[in-house]
Amino acid sequence: MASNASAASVTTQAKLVLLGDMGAGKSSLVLRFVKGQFHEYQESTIGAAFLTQTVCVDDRTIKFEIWDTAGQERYHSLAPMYYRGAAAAIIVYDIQSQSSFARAKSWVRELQKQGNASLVMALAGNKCDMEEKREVQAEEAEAYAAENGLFFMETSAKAAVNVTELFHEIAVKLPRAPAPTAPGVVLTNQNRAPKNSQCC
Amino acid sequence: MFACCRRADDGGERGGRDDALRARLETNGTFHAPTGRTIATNDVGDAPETSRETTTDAYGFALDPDAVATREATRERREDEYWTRARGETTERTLIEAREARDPALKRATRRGVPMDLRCDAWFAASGARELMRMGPTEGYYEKLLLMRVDEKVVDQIELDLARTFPANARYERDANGVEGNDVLRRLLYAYARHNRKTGYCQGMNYIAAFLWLVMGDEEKAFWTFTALLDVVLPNDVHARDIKGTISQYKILHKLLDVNAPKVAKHLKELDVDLVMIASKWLLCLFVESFPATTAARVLDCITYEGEKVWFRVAIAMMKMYEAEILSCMSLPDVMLCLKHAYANQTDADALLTFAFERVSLANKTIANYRRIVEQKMYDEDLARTTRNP
Repeated sequence: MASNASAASVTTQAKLVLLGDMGAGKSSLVLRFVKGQFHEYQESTIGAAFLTQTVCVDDRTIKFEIWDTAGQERYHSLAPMYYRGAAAAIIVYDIQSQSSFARAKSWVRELQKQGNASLVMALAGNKCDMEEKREVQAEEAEAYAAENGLFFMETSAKAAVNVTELFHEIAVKLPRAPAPTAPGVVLTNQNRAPKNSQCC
Repeated sequence: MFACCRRADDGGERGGRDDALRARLETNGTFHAPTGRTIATNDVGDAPETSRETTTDAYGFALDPDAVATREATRERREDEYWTRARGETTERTLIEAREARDPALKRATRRGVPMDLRCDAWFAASGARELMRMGPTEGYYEKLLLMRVDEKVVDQIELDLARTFPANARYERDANGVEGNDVLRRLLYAYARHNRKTGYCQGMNYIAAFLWLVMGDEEKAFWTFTALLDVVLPNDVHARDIKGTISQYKILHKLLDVNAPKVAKHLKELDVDLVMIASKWLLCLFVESFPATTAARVLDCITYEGEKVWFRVAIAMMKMYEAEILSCMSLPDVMLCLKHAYANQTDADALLTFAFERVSLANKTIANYRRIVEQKMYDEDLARTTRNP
């Protein structure tokens, strides 16, 4: 705690995981949020990518540690490593694809089964700029989200619609207390640091 | 937050890039793969790497102009005389014969690097692809595969990834003959999905297949080399529907690290780092998405010739070469970024391979032994799980 005394405001680390079908736009949402960029052909993610971004909400500074996972079903067995200890999850589907919406629902069920009550879960209907090819109605997703206690937004990484808002909303909803894993990690590291410099 | 430091013995040019990257990191607080795969401004085709003007390497991957170390270019030019002798119309046959005879000169020459113009023949011969093709189920097997139907879901997944594979590589987009990488990659992946229906398509394969084609330039030979790598050289369940082979490979890697790099292994345990979580692409993409293209090609020279053991050697070598940097990492994300950075900047393939072959001690028997233990444990856990939740 002593190390925090010097800091003007407390920075909370929050592990955030993105889950969803391949091609739903997980990496594009992250790229838009973190770098303000969009690539028409975003490289397919293998395994997972990791990025961070800091947001300020009122008096709090939240550093998101973002795990952007690969969408293909066969990577499923790796998923628990990424959502374990997460403070927030964004479940992404493509509004042009019912099957990606179905996949999103199965992610929601899986996360609910984990029984982490403090997990902030968001449902993002991405590619909302593609209205003419829409398969999933906003009302349908909205109703599903309400039923399951998620918060819902339609987003477009391409048109930069609701991306910052999505992450901001998550930051607002994060409980005041730091995420369960964060303090432990910081503490052990501080203890370990001097040991490294001595060893050889 | 980023605790990865430059090695003391690095050359100045690399240091410059490292510093630039670190500066970028510190300002952004974020990290994006510095794989050099930004938009290439010119297509240099087969131009030698010696030119300081080039912005892409020989395989069409963008290079950071400040980072093109001249010493690498010099090394590329100094070809092992073995290759000079082997070059000619009978290269492929010569290589096959030498391989069958386990010619130590070929092994040595391969470890020093196969010249670019011989890579196609060398990989085709060394990986066992040529035998596979010769013993293939039918004459013209690849052509026949191209005519067969592919499962609709597999089609969708492949189509989704075509344009997302090396999107900034000018040569992949369109090679010197106007052939579009997407078309070739589609055929390669469809053909493999038909050839191996059980595996179908797994993300990661796209990068391997595209890379093989970029290097080899011959579609059918690339297909057979791809097939040999996935079916024979690597455990055949690396890309399986449950990627079980990938999961077991990383468990084996951790066991090997316990012995080969105990300090790193201990540190990884303390930080709760599971390498399959942060670096599954080393295997799923066979390093081609992690190393600079020229280094990845050198590693593949050796993997095709000597087998999957080289994969372990290289992975362990990197952990040992960057031991100090890894030990100074404070958290799991630090380790991930540190390794990503180390791999993306490993332009010195000679240093890597010398380390991997001379300073990593590894026996096939040890790997086989660990594989047996790991697979048995995974089987038992599976069994326990299904018994609990039938």
